[in-house]
Amino acid sequence: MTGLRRALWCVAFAAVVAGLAASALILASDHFPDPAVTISIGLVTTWSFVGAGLYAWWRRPSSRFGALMVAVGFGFLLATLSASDNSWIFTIGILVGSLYFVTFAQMLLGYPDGRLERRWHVWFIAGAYVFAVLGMLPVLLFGYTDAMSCDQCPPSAILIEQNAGLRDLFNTITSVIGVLFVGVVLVVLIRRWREATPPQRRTMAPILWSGMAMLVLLGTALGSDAAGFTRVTDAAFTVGLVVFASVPWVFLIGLARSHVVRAAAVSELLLRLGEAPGTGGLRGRLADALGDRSLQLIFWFDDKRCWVDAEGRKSELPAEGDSARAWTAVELEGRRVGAIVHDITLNEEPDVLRSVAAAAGLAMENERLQAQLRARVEELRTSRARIVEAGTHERRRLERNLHDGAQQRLVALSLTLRLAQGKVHDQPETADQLLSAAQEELNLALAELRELARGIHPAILSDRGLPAALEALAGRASIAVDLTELPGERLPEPIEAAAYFVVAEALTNVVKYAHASQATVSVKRRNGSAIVEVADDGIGGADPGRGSGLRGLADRVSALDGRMEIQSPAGAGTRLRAEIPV
Amino acid sequence: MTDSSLRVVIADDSVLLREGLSRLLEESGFEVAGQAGDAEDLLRKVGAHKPDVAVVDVRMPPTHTDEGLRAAHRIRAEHPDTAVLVLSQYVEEAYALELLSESTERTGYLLKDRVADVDTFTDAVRRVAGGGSALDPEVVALLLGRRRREDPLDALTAREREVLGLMAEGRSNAAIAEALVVTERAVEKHVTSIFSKLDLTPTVEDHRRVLAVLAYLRAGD
Repeated sequence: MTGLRRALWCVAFAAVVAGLAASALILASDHFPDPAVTISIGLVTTWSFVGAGLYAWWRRPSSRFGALMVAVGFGFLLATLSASDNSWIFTIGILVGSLYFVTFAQMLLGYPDGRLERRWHVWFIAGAYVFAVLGMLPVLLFGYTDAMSCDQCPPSAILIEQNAGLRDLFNTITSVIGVLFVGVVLVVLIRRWREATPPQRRTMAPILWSGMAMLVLLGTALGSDAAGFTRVTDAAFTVGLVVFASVPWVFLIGLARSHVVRAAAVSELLLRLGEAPGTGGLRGRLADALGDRSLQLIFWFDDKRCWVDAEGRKSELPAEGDSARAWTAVELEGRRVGAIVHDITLNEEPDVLRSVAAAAGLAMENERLQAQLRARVEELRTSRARIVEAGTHERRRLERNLHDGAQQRLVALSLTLRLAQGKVHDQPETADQLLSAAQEELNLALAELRELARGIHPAILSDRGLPAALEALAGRASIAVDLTELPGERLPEPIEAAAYFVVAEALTNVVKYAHASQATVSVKRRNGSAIVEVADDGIGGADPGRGSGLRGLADRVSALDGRMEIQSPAGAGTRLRAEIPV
Repeated sequence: MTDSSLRVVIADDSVLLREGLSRLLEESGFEVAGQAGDAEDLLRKVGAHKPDVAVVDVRMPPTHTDEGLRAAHRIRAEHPDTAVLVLSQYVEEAYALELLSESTERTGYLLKDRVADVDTFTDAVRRVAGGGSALDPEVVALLLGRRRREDPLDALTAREREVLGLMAEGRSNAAIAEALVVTERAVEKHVTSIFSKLDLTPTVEDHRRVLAVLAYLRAGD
């Protein structure tokens, strides 16, 4: 910063020196009328531009706007070279005397960051620079006009011959091109105004309107000159010069005004937030304070690590290179609570954004909690619907299993017994065989019923608790299952049941899909939560969305306020982790 | 020891099953000294009749969880001369091992389905009454079938696994020989081989042997 500051002071010093040198040149000139007036206008204009430009440069070093403004100031001074009595210096002064117009146009087009946003703008401005020099050639090559009324002027160093006809022809052409140039710049500026958002308009208004006024006057001067209305030309040129000189001041006043307005709005905001924090409507207040109707608030959900809007829906921050939107983080006691998503022009005032963000912390935290509540309600609503659905689905499955399994066997058994009964007297041997078969069938039916009951709810879980139930589960698995850690005491029944079924479903998946040789299971209590982990050494790449089993488990866990996550990098095993608050 | 001398108390909350069991046992020559519908009743009747065996269902009122198991523990502690045979709806090795962990003497755990197989069932009743143990084959299969990281059971031959299973069920060498249709001498050789492969201390007494085998199978996971 100090380096930049020193450089800016050097530029300011150079502007003073150049201004004084230009004044000396004018005083020494034989052909400049009213040196006092000319010097006053020249110095005021130059130093205004340089001063305002340096201020803008210092405030926003990354923007080229300030530098362009300074350049306009120096460019304006170049025109005073034509005060020289030396023929060559005079000629050069005439040639470069209009360049500052183009720099000014470039400054307007590049507002606010000083960069030309389109490729054709660059070519257009480059062409304008060339034209600004070439446009002065007719008078220098073919003799001055009467309007210039320059009796004392030194002769042009590049005069070919006095030729009023050629001179006027070329002069008219250059004037027409000049008017066209001004027209194009005006059209671009007007279009930009129409596309701007309200906060953008507010910041661009002073510079844009004064600049456009200046351009209109310049266009009028050029046009009337080409048409031969000398008095109009003079008047337009004089007024144009005054407007031109006022541009830096308008710019500074606009800047100061927006600061004052913002500062007032921000202090009003602080006051109101202090009076009644978190009564809602925070967005509206921030929008008023920052003058950005499009402002949005999004909240940070730490437990889910995502951004959510006020309605509890998932949301995203504007992307890094977004040309229209930007965001400012809001923190409370070093913790991120949310972000203000706003128009990108507000980035020009980081101090204001910072103080607004700091003031909004507490109120935003309140709204964040409300948003979190809404999000939870929304989540519960959907997961409740899924649980009901899963319940129905499960009942259908049970009904099918009972119908296809035990019930069929019992029907068959009934038939067999009936057959055996008929043969007891006549064919006791056949009856005996039939009874043996019936016994077989009955055993199978019993085994099936046992398995079914176990799947619905293993008795050992309620009788002996989670560790015993998990041991039983591990003992039945077709791969080696290590129980690395189990809780020492009983957990509440719903949590034990959820943990049990998480492990059961996870192991089923491991056996079905993971191609694993072993799995480890742990259930531990940490910080008021039960943490269930099932890991395998299989192929990984499990899709958490696969099958309704995992989805149903996630719902079951989230119904208990817990959350479940699956890490399954391809080739590195699968790790399922569920955390349920106790 | 004749069957007529074996007196049994039956505890099950289902009257139907109680009556069925009672008839089956009486037809097989046992004397049913009493029937109980819950654990309290059971303990009272065991105290009054001093039966040789109590046949107890795991699930009974009031909580319908594991009253039967707890009652079984109390009977073994308070009436050492009464054997206990627990009947369970579940193949729950934890229950069985819990029951058989302190001592396998006069204790048994069978799946309820087993009662339909009269011979197996009455054999188990006689075995526990005679001081031995009975463990349901399904539970044994489950214990043997457990996947272990480095499984020493893999070192056993198929025949040795069979012998190990029958040992765990509580069968004597003679019974194992009969079941596998081999000589007792052959069974003894298998047993010695199993004990050395599993690094267990050989023991002659049946119930100690079962205890060692079960402890081994349980610790294996």
